[in-house]
Amino acid sequence: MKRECGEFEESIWECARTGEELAKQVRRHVGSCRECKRALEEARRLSGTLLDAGRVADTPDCRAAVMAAISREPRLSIGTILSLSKGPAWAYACGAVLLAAVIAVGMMAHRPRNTVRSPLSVTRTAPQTIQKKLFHHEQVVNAPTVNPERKPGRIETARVAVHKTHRHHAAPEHVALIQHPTPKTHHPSPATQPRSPEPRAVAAVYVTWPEGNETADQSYSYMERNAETGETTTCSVKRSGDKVEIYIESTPGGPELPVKGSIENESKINA
Amino acid sequence: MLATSDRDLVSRAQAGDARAFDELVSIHQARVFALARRILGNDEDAADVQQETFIRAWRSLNRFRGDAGFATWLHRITVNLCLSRRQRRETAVEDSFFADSLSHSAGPVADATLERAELAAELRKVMAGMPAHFRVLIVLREIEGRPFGEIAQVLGCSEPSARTRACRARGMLRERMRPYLEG
Repeated sequence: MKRECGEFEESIWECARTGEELAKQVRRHVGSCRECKRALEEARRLSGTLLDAGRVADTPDCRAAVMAAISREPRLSIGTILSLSKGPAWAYACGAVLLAAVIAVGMMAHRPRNTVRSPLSVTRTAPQTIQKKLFHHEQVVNAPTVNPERKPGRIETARVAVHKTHRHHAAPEHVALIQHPTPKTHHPSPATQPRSPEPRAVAAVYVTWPEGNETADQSYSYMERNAETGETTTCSVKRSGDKVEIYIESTPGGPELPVKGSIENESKINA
Repeated sequence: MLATSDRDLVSRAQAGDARAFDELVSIHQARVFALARRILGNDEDAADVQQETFIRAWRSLNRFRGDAGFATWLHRITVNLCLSRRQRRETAVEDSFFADSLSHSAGPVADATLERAELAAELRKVMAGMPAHFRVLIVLREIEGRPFGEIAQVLGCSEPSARTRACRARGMLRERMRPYLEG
């Protein structure tokens, strides 16, 4: 019965907001379910109040202010550039195409091998850099906790919920310090958990969002494999509201075959 | 999908035609202001966001590809600006959210109107205390009645995600308003 209630919740609110009749199936359920009947009554009262309150009387005309602001900004389109020039338009068009081709070839040549297609970009940096960044950003990092979904045969994973440090409108970013608990023994056993691990900084993950997408909830993951040591690292980034959750998990050894995703030195794997 | 009227104006604006952009502002400013007003709860902040939305849109116009409607794209900018503003302020929304709609009666106030006004006052407080992204969902879905596909585009998430969040937002609203609905 609870599952059914969940299925009808949206229909109940839709009906409350629009005033339309409930669909036959929904009406039948509401007639027999006290909770949903109550939900419908509450939704009707709330919807009415929300719609009343959401009415906006006067709209300010912002055109003058907006046009004044944008008139101060440089904006040159291709049409403007061509019209300002004295030479033939076809010559400039050819030049633009040639330039675009040169840029495209250059980008192809320098494209990083292990790029992960994602709306977010992540970089990793050395612990020394973390210290400098921490000093400036005063970030707060929660104590790491063990990932409850930790799989057997893997060493400990760390989950850190981080808070925002600062934001740029041009390049909003979150800085996360990942603290990875490591066992005290020199050769840790993957199956056992250390009694009192000392967290150490292993990486700083810089996560950026494209402009206009600063508050979108996004999630993605990537994997890396170190061809020399065989260590495989997976990282997942999940954003929800103001919080970013980052999981980093390292597995010693790893599968013989290359994993899907990024591989550091493909030639050594295939040799 | 881009409306025919918007398509032509956007193309011209992307080519640098400021008059075309002025026309776009004229067409869309009312909805942008209304959206900002419902999220932020006061005219002053809403007017700031309204202006900033169009300025940002002008700067990013070359990145607009027409996958979504121009209005949807604008409203996404508006929502993001509103959320940034609320997070910066970290204070409750001002009380004027509901003041305009229920204060027009000149004569004796009927019981029903008074009850609505009281419920509205409580709703105002509850909405002000809700997480910002939940408040946005209530505005987009329950006040503006937008379809979930559009909401997903505005919020930059998937449609199922938008539905799930809307369900949670409504649940929170109901739960917090329950004491006042039962009275």
